[in-house]
Amino acid sequence: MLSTNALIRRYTPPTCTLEIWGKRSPLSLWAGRNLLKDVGFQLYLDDPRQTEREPLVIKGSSYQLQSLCDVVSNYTQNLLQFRENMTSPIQELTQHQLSLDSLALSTPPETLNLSITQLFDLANALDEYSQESAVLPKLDKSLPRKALLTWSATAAALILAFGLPFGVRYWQQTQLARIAKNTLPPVSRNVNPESLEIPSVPLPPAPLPSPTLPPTISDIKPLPPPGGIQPLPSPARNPNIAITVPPPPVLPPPPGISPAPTAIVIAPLPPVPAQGGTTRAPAELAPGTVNLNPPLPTLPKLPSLQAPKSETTNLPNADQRAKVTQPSLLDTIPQVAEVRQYFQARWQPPESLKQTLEYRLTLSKDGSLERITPLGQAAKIYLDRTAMPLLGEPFVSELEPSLQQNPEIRLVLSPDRTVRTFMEQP
Amino acid sequence: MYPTVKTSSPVSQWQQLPLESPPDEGQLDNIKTHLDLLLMALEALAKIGSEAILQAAQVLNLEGMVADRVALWRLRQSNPLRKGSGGRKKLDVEEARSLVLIICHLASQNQELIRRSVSLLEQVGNQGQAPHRIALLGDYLDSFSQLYQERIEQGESLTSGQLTEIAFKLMIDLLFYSSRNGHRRLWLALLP
Repeated sequence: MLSTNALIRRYTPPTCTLEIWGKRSPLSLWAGRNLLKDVGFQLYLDDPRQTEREPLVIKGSSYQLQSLCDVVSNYTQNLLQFRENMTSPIQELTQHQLSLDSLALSTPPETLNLSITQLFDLANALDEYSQESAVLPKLDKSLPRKALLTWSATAAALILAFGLPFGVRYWQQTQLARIAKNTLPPVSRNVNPESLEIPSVPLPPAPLPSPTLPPTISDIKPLPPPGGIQPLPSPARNPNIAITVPPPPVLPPPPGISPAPTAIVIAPLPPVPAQGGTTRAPAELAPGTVNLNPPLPTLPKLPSLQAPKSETTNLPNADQRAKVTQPSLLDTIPQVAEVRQYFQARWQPPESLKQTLEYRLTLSKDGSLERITPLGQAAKIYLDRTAMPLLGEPFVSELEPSLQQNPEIRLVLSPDRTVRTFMEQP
Repeated sequence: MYPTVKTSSPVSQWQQLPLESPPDEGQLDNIKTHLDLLLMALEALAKIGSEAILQAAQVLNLEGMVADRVALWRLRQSNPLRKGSGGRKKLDVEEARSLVLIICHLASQNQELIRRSVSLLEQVGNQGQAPHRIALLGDYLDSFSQLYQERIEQGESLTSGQLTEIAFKLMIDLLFYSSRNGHRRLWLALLP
């Protein structure tokens, strides 16, 4: 479960589809955002004008993707270079052949024959990827192996530190004595990150029961006021060292909004027919098909409330942690509140964000995400800054089996850290 | 009226047009020529006139660089290939940057038209047809050839075949400059 291949991004200009795949790193739990490893790509040259041909598919690693970016960008820039003599026959202007030698692909093609509009679309998709990869979560390129090992050791230590209190309940009888005697095997620095199994930390049941005092405690005399507190002397400072204010963090430039209609749609792969037992009813979803347009359900009759938008339009700009909102009457299923709690704990709006981000989240029966639909350009651009869990990863509690349809939850993330969720359909 | 196109702020776009060393005279001449020809292609394809160019300058907060028709005319007259006073006006780097942003803004506003024209050109090329038989391409060719011959020194000496090839080369360039990253592509193409 920890390292399932997941679709991270899909770029869909008119004549090709570029998909970025990756595995979620267990370290994501601590980093607060999705760290990826084994990033790869699949490029489908699926020009709708060429339906008689099978779409050409090119697959490769992140390094091969980088090579492809370089090949296409260099070719394009060379094509656009201003020359004294600008004349060339139409055929040369509209048909192009790019060499893919530098990619060292395991399977052909070695050259890519593209029309000029196909080249334009491919160059744009790769440009979009290159610009976004600065903020795309990544691990295998940016973190050298050594740093990864150090991280793994830290992670292992953190598991011991945070995981122990939760595990104690179960281990008390048999294991506690051994731990107390420091017989725990030392954390190996050579731990293999690939095989690092990290147990999920159990969430406390929400809401937490409020503690109650025994009746007798109210009779206890209040403690006498403490004596005067001596102010502590200021710590000595070496006058030879100048105080320097750390420079403000360098932020990436605010992403512009593409005029081209390149939609990013994140959807799961068609379900593979299950080998073993599956909980999915065949009538609900035939193998090999994804029901992208489920019939519109009837909405439940809700008590009259102010529209969810209006309730926060006058919210002050606060810089505190995510605002904790009270359970709402719109929380028709517990998962609505759970989604809200999940993001309240994680949502850190980027400084460049000036507008609210809205997503439609479709839940699976097991409480994981089945589909993420960003609503609007900004929501697409900032998707990876939202700490959004990957599709199929554990997210909220399992759905009531009685639910007829997988619920859709609207998630609204505001620049002032407010998190709102409400039910879109039962 | 043109559709509203959302772009990132001109200031941030400006920062994406770096210059390692100032271009020399010859390079500046090339830059002036290239920018003027691209505007000419936009004029011919999308029927863009001075008004739309000045409006784009306003949207991009570049009125300081291109305040009115006279300023725009002087900028375009800096193309050394222009008839008459061509090349007399000096174009500085900031003015070149402004024109780059304006051209890409206009190309982006007209991206659908440019793309349709380029797609037609692909079809024509594949089928071995004469491009001027396709109305959209034929009108563009007529319009571009006329502007070119009116304005460019020795424009009349080019054959219609040469004019056609220049016109289509510029049309394809405009497609690439119409994308989100267009201003960077154009800036890099201008620099030697």
